[in-house]
Amino acid sequence: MTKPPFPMDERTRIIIMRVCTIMYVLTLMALLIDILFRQFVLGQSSDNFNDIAMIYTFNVIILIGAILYFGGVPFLKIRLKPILTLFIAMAVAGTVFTIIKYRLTDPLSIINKFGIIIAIITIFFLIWITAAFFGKRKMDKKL
Amino acid sequence: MNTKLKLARIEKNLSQQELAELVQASRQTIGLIEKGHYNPSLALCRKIAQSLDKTLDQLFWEDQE
Repeated sequence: MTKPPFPMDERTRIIIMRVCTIMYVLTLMALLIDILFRQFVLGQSSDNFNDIAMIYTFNVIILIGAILYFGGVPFLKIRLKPILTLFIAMAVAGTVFTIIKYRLTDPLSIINKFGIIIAIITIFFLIWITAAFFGKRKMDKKL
Repeated sequence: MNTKLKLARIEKNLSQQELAELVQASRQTIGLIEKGHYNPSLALCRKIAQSLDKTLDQLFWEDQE
């Protein structure tokens, strides 16, 4: 049997995973800082950084979805109360952010944007709840 | 510091490198376990115990004295 060029045992694997995790979080933070800097400091139009925003958004959706699917959150059952609280918190944060970003004053345009925000957050939550549901089902099968 | 592991290894006339090869780990990992700077997984503990013909208790259980 040929030896692998870089034999790894469990300790080296743990170190590599830890370093990769830290670097991944730092990369996500750098992307977020870049998006906010371009938007609010440089005053660039969102067309200039749509690609970065897309990468960031997909990463966060998949990251949270994967954590939920692989059982990273030790929930016993999917409960409505924390999900609703998080949903409302995200809706409020999203609305405040949009009002500041677009300098909205007209209530009608705020309501209009609010509808879009609710739709986007609902899609996020549907993906996460589905991931959590299938993850839990997979784990229950193993037990 | 895990002196029990070190003693068991010496008793078996094995170097850290030889034990590492037996359990498919690196010499550094064995050294760190002996120094108490790394907590091995249960799977690795079992491999080490089997290689040294000891039980998990004999190698890794700390007596409260």
